[in-house]
Amino acid sequence: MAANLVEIEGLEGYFDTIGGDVRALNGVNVPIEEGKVTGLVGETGSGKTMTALNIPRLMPENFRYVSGRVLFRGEDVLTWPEERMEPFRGDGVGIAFQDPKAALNPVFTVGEQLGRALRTHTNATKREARKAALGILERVRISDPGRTIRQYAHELSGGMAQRVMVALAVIHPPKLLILDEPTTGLDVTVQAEIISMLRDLVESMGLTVLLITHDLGVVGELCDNVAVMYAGRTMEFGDIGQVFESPANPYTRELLRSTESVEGGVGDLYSIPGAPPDLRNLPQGCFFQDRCPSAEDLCRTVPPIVEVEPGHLSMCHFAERYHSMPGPLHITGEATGDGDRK
Amino acid sequence: MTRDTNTALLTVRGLTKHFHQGVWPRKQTVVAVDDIDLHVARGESVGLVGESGSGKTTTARSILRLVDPTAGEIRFDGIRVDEMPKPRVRRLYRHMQMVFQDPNSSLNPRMTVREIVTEPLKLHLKMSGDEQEGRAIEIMTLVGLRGFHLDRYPGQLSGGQRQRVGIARAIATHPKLVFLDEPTSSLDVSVRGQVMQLLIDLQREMGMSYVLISHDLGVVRQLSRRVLVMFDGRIVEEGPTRRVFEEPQDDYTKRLLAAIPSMDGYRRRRLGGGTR
Repeated sequence: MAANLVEIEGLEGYFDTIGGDVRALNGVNVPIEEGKVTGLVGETGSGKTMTALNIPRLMPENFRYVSGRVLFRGEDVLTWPEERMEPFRGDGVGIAFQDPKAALNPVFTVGEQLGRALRTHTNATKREARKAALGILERVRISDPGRTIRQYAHELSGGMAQRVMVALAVIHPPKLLILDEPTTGLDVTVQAEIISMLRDLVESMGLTVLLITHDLGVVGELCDNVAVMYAGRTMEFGDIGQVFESPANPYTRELLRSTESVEGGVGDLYSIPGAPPDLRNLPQGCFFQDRCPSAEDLCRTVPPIVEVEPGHLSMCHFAERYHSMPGPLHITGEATGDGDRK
Repeated sequence: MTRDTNTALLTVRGLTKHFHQGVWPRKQTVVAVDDIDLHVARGESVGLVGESGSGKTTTARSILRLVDPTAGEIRFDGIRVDEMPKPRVRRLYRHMQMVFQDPNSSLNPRMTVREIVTEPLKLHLKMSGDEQEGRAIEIMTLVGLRGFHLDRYPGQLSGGQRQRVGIARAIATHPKLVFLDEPTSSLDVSVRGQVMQLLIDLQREMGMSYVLISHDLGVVRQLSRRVLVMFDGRIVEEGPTRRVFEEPQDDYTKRLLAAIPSMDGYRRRRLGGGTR
C-alpha cells in the first residue's frame, strides 16, 4: 500500500449562525492515498464538500474548529500561517468546483483563465501558457481547443464547461486534485465521456484525487478507496471492493441497497426510512440510530471506529457483525480478490 | 397496430412542434418534436426517456397545450385537445396535471402550502372554504405530510417535502393523467426512493395514469411498465420496459444504457489489469 498524501483525522467543527450552531463536521477521518482516487460519498448535507475545503483551508468565515488535524505529508495544514497557504492552493491542492458554469469567471476567456492558472505558479511566458492551455484542453478532450480558448463560460455546454474546469485545475498539476461532483447535472452519455476522460487523465498524469460525489455509480467507475459520510461523520472507509462487497456499517448497507433499487432499478423499490438528522440538533451517540434497522440501547453512545480488516474502518458498535453478513448488492461477475490495481 | 381505443385515456398522433429562433433573414426552425405517436391507457404508467433536448418535456407541454403544437392530433378521454380553445383547455387541467422537475422553482415562495394545495380545489371544484380545508388535510396525509405543514412556506421545507407538495397540488383534483417531469432528479437517493414509492402507492390508490419523463433509467424501470425512448425529437424505440432495457434494439438506446455508471465498474477495471 502506498503512503498517504493527506490524512484527515478526527476533524470536528461547526458553523456559528444566528439560528444556533450547525454541526457540519462531527468526526471526519479520511486518508487519501498517494496516486489513488478516493471517493467521498454521502447525501446532501453530509459534509462532503466541507471536508474537502479544509485541505486548502477555504472554509467559510463562520466555521469554527473543535478538534482534528489535516495532515499533508505529515504536516498539519491547519497550523500553517496564511502566507504558506497561498502558494499551497493550486500547487498543493487544486479544485475543480461543482457547477462549473457558475464557477468559471464569466468575464475572462477560457484561454485567459488557463493562462493565469499556470502563470500564478510558474514563470511561463504568455506564449508558453497559450501552448500549455491548448495542450491541456486537448487532454480533457475538447474537440477544438483553438476555438474554445477564445470562448467565455456562457458559450460552453455543460460538458465542455466541466472539461474546462478540470483543465484549469490540472494545467499546473497539483499534488492533490479535488473533483467536486464532476458529473452532476450532465446527461448520461456526456457523463460517461467525462468519466472516461477523468480515468485516463488521472492514470496518465499519475494524479492523487479526492472525488466528491453523491453518485455511487461514479464511485464504482472511478474510485480505488471510498469514504462514506453521514451527518458530518465518516461512517466507513476502505478499499472500494471491501466497502461495496462487505460493508461493515448499517448506513453503507442501506445506502447501497437503496441505490441499487432506485438507480439501478434492480429488485423491489427500497428506500431508507426517515431523513438525515438535523445538524442543529444531533442525537447522542450514533447519528444513524433512528433509521438503523437494528439499533440497540448501546447505539446511544458514540460508536468506536473498528478496523474490521486491514485498511477497512467502520464507525459502529456492531461493525464486526455487519462485516460478516452477506453483502447487500446483487453483484455479478467474478470476485477480484485483492484490491490493488497493479 | 391495434389498440383498444376504449381504454385509451390519451391518444396522440403525429405530434410535431417547431420552434422558431432568431430574426429574418437568419430565422431558423428547430424541430423539437417530430411526428410522435403516444398512447396511454387508463391506469397505465408510461416512461419517456431521452437526454436534455430530445423533446421529452416539449411533448408533455404540447399535450397540455402549454405550448401549441405545430401539427398532430391529441385526444384525451375521447376529446380533441389540439382543436380546443384555450379557456376550455384550462378546464381540462382538473383531469390532466403535471409535477415539475424542480420543486424549488415550481412552487410560489410567497404562498403557504395551504394556498398552493387548495388553489386547484378553488379553481376547478369550486369548493367552499371548509371543504377545501378538509380535502387539503386529506391530500397532505396521502403524500405523507402532516396538517401543520399547511401553514409552512416552501422555503421552510426540505427538498423531499417540497416535491411532496408539488405532487399534492397535482393530485388535489383527482386527475386522470399526471405528467411527471423528472419528479425525483433533484432529490437525494434515500429521499428519491421514498418519493418514488409514494408515486407508486398513489397510482394504486387513485388509479391515475402517469407519463413519466426522465433521463434516469432506474426511476423509469421502477415506475413504468412501458417505455418510449426519444432522441432528437423522435421516438426511436418503444416497448415493455424490461424488454427495452434487457434487449435494446436501437443504437441510441444501447448507447444510453451502456453510459450508465455502474457501482461494480471497479470490477471491470480491476479484471482488466492495467487498463483501468
